[in-house]
Amino acid sequence: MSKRDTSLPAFFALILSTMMLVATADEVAVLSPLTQEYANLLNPMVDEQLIPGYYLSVYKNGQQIVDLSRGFADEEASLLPGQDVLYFIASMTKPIVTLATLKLVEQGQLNLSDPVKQFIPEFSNLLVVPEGDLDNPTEALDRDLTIHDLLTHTSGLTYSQDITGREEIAKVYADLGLFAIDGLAESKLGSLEDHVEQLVQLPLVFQPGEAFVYSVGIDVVGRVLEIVTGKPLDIVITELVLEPLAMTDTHFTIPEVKRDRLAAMYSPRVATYPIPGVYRRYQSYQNLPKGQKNFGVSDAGYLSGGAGLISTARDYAKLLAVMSNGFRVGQLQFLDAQIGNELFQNQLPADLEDEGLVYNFGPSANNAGFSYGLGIRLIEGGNLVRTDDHDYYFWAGAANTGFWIDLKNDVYGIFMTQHLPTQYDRTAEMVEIAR
Amino acid sequence: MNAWNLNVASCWSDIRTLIVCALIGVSTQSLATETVGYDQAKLAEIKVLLDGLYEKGQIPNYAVEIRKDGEAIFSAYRGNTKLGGAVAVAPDTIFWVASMGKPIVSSAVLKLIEDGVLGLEDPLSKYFPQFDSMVVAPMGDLDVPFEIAKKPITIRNLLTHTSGFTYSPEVLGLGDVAYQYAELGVMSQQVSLEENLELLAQIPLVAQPGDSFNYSVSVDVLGAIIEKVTGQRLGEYLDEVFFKPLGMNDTAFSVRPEARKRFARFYAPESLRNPAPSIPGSEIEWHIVETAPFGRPYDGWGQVPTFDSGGGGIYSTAQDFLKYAEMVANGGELNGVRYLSAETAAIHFQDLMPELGLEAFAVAFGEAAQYMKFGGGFGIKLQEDGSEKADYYFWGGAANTFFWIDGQDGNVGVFFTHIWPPRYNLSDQIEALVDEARIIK
Repeated sequence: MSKRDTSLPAFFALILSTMMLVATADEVAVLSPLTQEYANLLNPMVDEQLIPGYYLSVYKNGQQIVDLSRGFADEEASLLPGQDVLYFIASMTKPIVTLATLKLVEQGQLNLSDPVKQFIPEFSNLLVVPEGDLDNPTEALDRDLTIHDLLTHTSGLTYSQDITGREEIAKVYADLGLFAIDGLAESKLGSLEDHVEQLVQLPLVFQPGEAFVYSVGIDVVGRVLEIVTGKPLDIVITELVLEPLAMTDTHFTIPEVKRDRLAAMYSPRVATYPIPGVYRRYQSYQNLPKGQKNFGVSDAGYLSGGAGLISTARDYAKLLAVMSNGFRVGQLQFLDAQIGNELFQNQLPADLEDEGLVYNFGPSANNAGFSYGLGIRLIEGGNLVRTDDHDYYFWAGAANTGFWIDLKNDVYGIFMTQHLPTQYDRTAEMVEIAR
Repeated sequence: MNAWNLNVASCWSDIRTLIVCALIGVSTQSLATETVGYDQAKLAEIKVLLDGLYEKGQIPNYAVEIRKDGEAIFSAYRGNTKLGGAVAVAPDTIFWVASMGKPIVSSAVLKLIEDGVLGLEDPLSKYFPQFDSMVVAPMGDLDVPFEIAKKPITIRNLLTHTSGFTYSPEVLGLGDVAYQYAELGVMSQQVSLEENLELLAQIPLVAQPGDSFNYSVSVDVLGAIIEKVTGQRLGEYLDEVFFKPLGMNDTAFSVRPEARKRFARFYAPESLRNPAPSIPGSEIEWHIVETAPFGRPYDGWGQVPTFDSGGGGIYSTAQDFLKYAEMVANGGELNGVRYLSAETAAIHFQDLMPELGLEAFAVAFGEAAQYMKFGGGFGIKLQEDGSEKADYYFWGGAANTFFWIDGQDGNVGVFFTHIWPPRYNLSDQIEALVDEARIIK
């Protein structure tokens, strides 16, 4: 039975620590004007008790220019947020798996145009139920799904309704626990292979290439990488991406010795009775197995290329650095620049124009495109075909983590907190402040 | 001499009631009225605050009105009952005011005490014997040893949420016990009120009666007591003593079919899974989507319930609720009609559990506990200068509706919108603006 953290001593300790925090904040050294602007934007979320704390790191020309935090990463353990704190980054896993895929392309082991059925034969027999509505007549596939379709969320796969799925089929994903977030701690369906086996028995919600539907596509890519290399996904990404980039704190399951650096997961706390003034709007996340304060400590999950990783801001900055730096690490070319630069091209079908993301993310997601693992924000009136019109690149994780890459200004940034689901996305404002 | 005075006379028999009697003496004075007016420019900041949220597409509409001495000193209504459609929000727009029924039911209980029908110290088991020996699971934790309830649950406890009852987890109930409420469906509309009490009596309390504030089904239990002693359905009794004579024509446990067009829809913040629609012709970029509180869609709301839930089942309008609040603020009388004696009306504003310290309120109210007391069905927000004086008396409902009665000059206010789960508890800020606007001679 799940429990709320309601012990009184802990509660008073919390009140006390919050008060002390405010006191110390008054005394801290003067922040740089830039850092102060970020603090002005982000601190109210902590002071109004919407989130327990956050960490923000911003880099310009490869140098860290903002290193800002407030509150706690884990209140009960009094863990302060920082660039070495381990956070569940959820969908920010996707760009890492995408880079691993591009590495295999570079090595000639894989082509983005390869049909998925070449690796997972069951993909040749998929059916399509238009719009994922089970009342619609079933169609056969117009063409084969490719790795490109999976990487761009245009495969016709979807996500569970618990995540972003909005179709009737997405409800079936949810009922099965198919690629469920909570399954990362306790999988109802077994391993990654088992999930894919279940997935191929369900119809697609669109024909391949027809629409952008945010999906488990990258999880399927993860399985393809396992098949191509003959190794489990954690080893694949370690060898192809994490080791070459010296990302030593990025894991599906965190080693025992690092667990004191793990943030706690929080979710909304809704008081249905009136509480005067400011009050705590978050509580410990309820859906983890007893004794687990976050993802990444259980070995009962599955290797999720779409959402499974735990990382730190320091580690993730290395990933953003390589993307911002012509895919070089120091003097070494990590990835062929021509292949890498595909990450900065719109990869969605042209007929979706700049409206593709609206299907999942609503009208405010217009004026945007998508490459492999990265969203593309356009300048006002811009055209996706012209990279000069790309304002910035971004993606985010379901637990309210996010990053952006502003190539023109040679800036990138990472925001970390742990609030599932995302409720406080300030990316657009954070991008502006650094300019 | 009325029955309340009889109760007062009998105070001397019991040390605990003595405290209450002393308090009644202190505060039967009516709310002071030295106010000469309000700075309208300051009051206009209320509209700026609400327009900010509305124009950013975060609330679907708002109804706010503040009254003093029978006149509106400020009012503003904006938006529609449905995004981009239906009817404009007005003083007669119907909202689900939910827990704002709790103070009304408490007023009815206080009236029955005044009438000599009930006693403040009556044990619940006098009316429902199944509650005569309760088990307590401290903090609602089923893994620690249970205790036997040391005291009976009294009507005083039920009025102040100190009974030891709790709610299900979705209403922030406490510990494992809250999950038992959910599993057994306590106070669900599946069965009658009496059958719900049978379920409730089988579940441990989360605290010793009288020891701490736990927001709870207590007021539904009070509703059951009212039904038992009056022989009437709760809605009928409230109609008879308050709603009809006060002219609260749109206040009830359901929405009349012909009034339904004035019943506002429910909204929630958009999410990745459920992005906001763009409304053709609307000048606002909305960030909210229609939602179904507790999984029940709009059409399911306002229907005649299996039982009248005193704790959460009431629908009302701004103009109706203001009449109730004015009656209480005005010492139990409105427009020449007396509903409660002045002594009874004052009980709403008494600290009915004066022996309770900060820790008794901390679990429910967090840091705000230092400014919280609880009276006869009303929360008491103390001034933050440590003076122990009341800033305002208040309560709110789960779909983002609030009301308050000012502790200084007795002005009354409501702020309604329909956001589920509630997100914009602005009554504290609005009330503070009214305080700042007050001009005292």
